[in-house]
Amino acid sequence: MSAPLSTPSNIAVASNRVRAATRRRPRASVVLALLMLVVTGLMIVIVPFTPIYSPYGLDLAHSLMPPFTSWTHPLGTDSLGRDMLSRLAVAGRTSILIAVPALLINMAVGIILGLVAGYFGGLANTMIMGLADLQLSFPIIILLVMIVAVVGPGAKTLVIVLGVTYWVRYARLARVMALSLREREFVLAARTFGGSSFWILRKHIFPQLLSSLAIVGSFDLGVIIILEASLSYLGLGIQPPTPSWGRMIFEGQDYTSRDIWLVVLPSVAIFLVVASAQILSQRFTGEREAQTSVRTV
Amino acid sequence: MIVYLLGRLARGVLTVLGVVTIAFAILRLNGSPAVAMIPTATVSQIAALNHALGFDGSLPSQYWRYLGGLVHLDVGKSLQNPAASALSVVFGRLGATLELTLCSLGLGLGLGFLIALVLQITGSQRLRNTMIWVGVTRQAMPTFLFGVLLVLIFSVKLGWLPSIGRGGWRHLLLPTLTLASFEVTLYMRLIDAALSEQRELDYVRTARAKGLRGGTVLLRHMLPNALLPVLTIAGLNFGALLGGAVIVENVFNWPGVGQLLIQSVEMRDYPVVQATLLVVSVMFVTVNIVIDLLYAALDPRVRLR
Repeated sequence: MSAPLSTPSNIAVASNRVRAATRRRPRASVVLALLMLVVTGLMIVIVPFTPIYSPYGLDLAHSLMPPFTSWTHPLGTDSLGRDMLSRLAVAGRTSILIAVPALLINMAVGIILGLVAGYFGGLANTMIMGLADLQLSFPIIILLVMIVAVVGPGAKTLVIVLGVTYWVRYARLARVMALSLREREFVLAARTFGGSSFWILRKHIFPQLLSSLAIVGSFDLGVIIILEASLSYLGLGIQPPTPSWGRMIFEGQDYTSRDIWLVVLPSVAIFLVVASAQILSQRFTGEREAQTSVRTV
Repeated sequence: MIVYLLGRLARGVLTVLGVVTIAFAILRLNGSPAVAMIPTATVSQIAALNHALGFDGSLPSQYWRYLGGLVHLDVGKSLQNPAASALSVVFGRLGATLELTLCSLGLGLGLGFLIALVLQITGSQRLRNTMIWVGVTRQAMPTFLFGVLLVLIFSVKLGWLPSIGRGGWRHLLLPTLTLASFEVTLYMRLIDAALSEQRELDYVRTARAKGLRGGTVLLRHMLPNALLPVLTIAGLNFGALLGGAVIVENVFNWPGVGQLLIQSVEMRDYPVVQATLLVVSVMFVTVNIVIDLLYAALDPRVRLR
């Protein structure tokens, strides 16, 4: 059973009809996803250079301002009068700065373990895949919570903790790839010419992985952002005063009867980023399947 | 069969052992917690607390005592509530968590089935695409976010349902919906894909050829075959469900194990944190063993060896 639960590979199991539909789906979804990414990306990049930028400036006289009523605070202010747009932008930057390194760590760990398991087999394979099975199905958030509790919350902790959580799918990908390529002629040829195991893995097997990495990676970026937001929401992620989308939602919940925007705005931000990453991932899946089906027929 | 069962049990015990070992290592990442727990403590107080928590002596001897305690189902007393053992504190919260997770699983599976059956009966590709996109949208939202939005709509704006706490079915509704909405998406796609796969097989054509009605073929012939993969995924997904429950319980102030875990972490009540992990991992292993056995009972082609 590879990668259960809401992963792009679910699509791979889906029927031909579903697959055909995925292929035929108009590019509107991709345009929409890119648009969503660009909007949030621009917000994160541009807002810090505008005069309204002030994520930490308290202004109790103008607290809980609704959005779209003032030029100095386009998206309103929170309970301490801090500018919402600035805070959303900083939170987004923090989120990306945590999710991307975490994703890269996951990929590196997963690919190395997977290649080792697939290429060398034997005991290494049994142990690594056993660990992978466990990690895939165990409620990992419980262990994450424990680590954060012991080490103390913070950006660095988050990167490391999230970085060792989602390596399993990369390990599986790399392992399957190594298994299937191990006996192929070009690998055997390379070995005949005296290529070392490491060299063969790096030069012949790793490059074959790249397209799969794009699919799983863009999906997982969304998943990691979700997990970061969840931990921050629980108070175990980014610590105040640094804003994070998850914590902004938590803090906004106290004011929902007066000002619903404090919750809605960060929610929209999370949704835009995660949804666009997942739509793009699905799109890649569809295209790759179209290619492979043509190739195999 | 007996051999298989013993082997499976041994693997289960190994899994639990692995998890508690990881927990042991995590708890010692930062040295002893005693100083952080009582910043003003004297040397003798720290030594006493270290002893109570099992943080004194060499690492192997700590580990040995830790395992010995686990075998006797003793992970120490709760630090917040010294009268109670940590395990009993966790068991006191287990009912609420089981209520929430089982209701969500039931609702998710049930709705997933219904939708998949409707998709198969109508055969509408448009409906299928719509449902998939609804599912993708839900999965692009963190669980806590979906819960908060439900509270905003049904508690704050409409005032129909209570937003926090545990009580009658009205309290149960929103948290269950939050968890189940994720499950529905998963099972709907899974069952639909499994049924579509079965549809192409020879036995379905035979059944139709001998004149059975579409509904009979679907329910009596295809569904049992499509159910088996669902069972496996449901077992694997049980962990994700528990993880989701940790978050949902904190959103809705639901007095379950997940809320206890976060509270204990904040209070540095390590015995309770360990007890939670032990209970969850044993539960998780048991569920998966039961599912393996169920699998063999339901499918005569599977022989357990």
